Amino acid sequence: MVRERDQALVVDNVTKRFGGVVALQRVVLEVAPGERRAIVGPNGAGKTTLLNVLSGLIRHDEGRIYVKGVDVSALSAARRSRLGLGRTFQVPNVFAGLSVEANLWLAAEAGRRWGGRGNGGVVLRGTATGSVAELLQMCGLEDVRHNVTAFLPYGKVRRLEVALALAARPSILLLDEPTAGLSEAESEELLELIRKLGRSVTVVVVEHNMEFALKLADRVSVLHQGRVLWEGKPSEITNASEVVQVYFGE
Amino acid sequence: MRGRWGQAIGGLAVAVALLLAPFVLSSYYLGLLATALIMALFAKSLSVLVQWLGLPSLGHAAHFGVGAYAVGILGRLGWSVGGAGGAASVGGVAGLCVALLLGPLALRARGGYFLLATLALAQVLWGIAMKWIALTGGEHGLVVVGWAGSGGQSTGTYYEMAGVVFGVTVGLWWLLGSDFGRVLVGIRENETRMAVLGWNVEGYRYAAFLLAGAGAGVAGGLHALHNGFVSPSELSIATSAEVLFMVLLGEQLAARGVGQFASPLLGALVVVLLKHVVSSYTERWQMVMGLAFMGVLALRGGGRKRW
Amino acid sequence: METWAGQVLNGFAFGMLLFLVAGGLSLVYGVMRVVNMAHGACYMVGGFVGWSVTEATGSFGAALIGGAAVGGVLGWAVERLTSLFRGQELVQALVTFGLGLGLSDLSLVIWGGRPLILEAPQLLSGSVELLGLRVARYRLFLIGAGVVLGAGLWWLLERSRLGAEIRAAVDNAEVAWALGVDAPGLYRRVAIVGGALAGLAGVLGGPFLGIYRGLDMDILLLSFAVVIIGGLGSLEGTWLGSLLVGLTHSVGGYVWPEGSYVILFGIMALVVVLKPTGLLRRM
Repeated sequence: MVRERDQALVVDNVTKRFGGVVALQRVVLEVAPGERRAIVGPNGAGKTTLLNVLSGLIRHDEGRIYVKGVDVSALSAARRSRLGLGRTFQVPNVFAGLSVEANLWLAAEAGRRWGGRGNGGVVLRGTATGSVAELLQMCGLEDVRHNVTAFLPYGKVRRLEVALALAARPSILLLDEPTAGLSEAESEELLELIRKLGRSVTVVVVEHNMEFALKLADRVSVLHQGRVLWEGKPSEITNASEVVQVYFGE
Repeated sequence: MRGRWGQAIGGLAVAVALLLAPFVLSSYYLGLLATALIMALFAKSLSVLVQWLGLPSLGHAAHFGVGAYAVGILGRLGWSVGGAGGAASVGGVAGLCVALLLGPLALRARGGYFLLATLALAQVLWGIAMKWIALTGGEHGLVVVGWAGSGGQSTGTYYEMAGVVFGVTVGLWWLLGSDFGRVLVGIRENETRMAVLGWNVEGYRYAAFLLAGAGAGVAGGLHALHNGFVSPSELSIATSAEVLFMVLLGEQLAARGVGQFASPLLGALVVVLLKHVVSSYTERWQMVMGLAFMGVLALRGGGRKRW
Repeated sequence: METWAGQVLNGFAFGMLLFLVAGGLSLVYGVMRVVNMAHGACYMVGGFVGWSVTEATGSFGAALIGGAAVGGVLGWAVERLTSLFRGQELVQALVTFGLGLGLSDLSLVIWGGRPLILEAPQLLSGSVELLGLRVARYRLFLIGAGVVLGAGLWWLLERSRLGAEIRAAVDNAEVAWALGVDAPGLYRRVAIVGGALAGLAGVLGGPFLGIYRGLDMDILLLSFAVVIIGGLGSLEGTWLGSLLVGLTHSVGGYVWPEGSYVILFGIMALVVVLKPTGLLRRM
């Protein structure tokens, strides 16, 4: 279909069940290349499940997922990643026993091998070591480059989490609650970082922090009980009665 | 990179020691040293599975034994392998073939299942070696026209043996220190993240398994030549247990200061010496090893575990 | 005597024996998540003890009790040993492996290296006419014993309190503990039962397979083949796997003696590739 090819990410009626519980119900989503999309919703709405299904860590039951026009429904997480899909984890999922530098090398080498292919993607220096140096600076991790991540303070680990995702040079970046545990100032820094990435990278953010989401996003999708309840511009959300109901009516 | 230089210097020191050994040791002990070197390579190949993939295999004798039998069977068919290099190559290829076959089977299993699978697969090969008398000589084994003579180890053959072992070990050292090794470490530390970053985790695991199998096969081929004899015991659980014991002991040594790379090599040396000493006093080597096995596991205690 | 029918019967008898051994292995894994590598040694030591008891008392029944008792004790020892390493599946398995090695060598010391023959009691020896064929009475006994014990195990699992606890623990350990099932107590009982079954099987298998050095590993391998094929933790799977392995090993060994292990390998490989969790694994 024409629309799959044009869009960065297309979620076509995806359903996911865990036993008797329906976590995602015929979810439809289309994200344009270079767009900043925020996915918000109350707890249990299915946001993290959606990310896991998108990145390929969980197989969905019905529907299709297209990444840059390619049907990835049957592809493994690694294969999807090599098409340009990257993600962060809500709870930092780093290489705890290795140094920050070693962590980044693994991601940067991946990025060197199959990142930035075709159109767009995070732009970094050509070699793995070069991009590691660049990322250390970009994410404020230079002072801890030799430290083993298991002993780093939480704030630094969160930065590493983002840096790892960037190092792989994704053209579509999925961020899972990136501001969780961050201060106001740190959230601003993250916002700046994402802005600097430019429109060659599509960014989808799952967030609980409404303020951050609205500041970042071009469009917002609201998830509720596994369905897309509402979608529109940040400026329109306060007028959307269904959203208000869901957030404040309960 | 400082660590690599330190290792290189250590390696050079070992090379010098090996060169000088024939001048210091009697031919009897030289033969023992040759055995230790072969076992060291065997243990090192297993350590790739244990320390790099976190998969302690109880069936590593499969590759070792088939490597040994390859040399023996070729000899029986009239083809001489010609020296240590030939034996190593034949053994290595045989070990690789076994790994190619067993890899997809063993790697599907995790945890206790993996131990089960590797042990069972090796035992099956042992059973085949016992029963397929036409090919393997069954229980009575095969005589390999090699270097094992009643006069003990000759210096020339020792140098050939030591040279091959040293060379292969250096090759392993280089490979494990390269990007390939770093990727293996990543897989060991956080497999999920590696997959999400795009790495082909199964592919690398398989490659590491093949490497371990080939290494063990090389050791097996050399063993056949050195021993002059191949029998099903080369494929036995006892052999798998012994080499695993070497690696586990090496881990304990590493925890107490011995270098990571050298630890299985040293573990092998210790076990070969231990077995030699124990065997001269009692026949109960298996019981001693069983107890020591449990002991070494009990010592593992705190700290970060790779498996 | 060694006709096709004879071999098939042999296979069934062998399958029953394997069921007893592999059943214990499967149960222990299902409840404790421990792969007991000393299980083959339990079988062998049980057989050796049974031999000693028959030598001393002449009673097969006493031998059965003796074998089961010693097996139970060894099972208890395995539980105690592995409790030191709770949660570390690989370490636990390796520790039992070390124990198995030690036990194997110890039995060499006690009983010597020559193969021993455990005589079946008069009542069960010799052969009998069945449907026009001569069949060994002992094989029929083994099949019968296997069916009875199998039914007993089934009854234990489905109808007794212990069985309920076992099934709960196998299905969902956390919920079972939360509901008050006493974990250490359960582990101990299951380990003892598993070991006793192996020891008993060792005596039962004496007149059938003999008792010899290396028997522990032979039995261990076949039990492993059974659980790999049938699935760890499933009694039905163990039943199916035992029959399959017993029959193919007997009949296959009759048709192609050199290749009995090749056939076994082939089946195992097929199952691992096509259905890695085993044919009937419940979990």
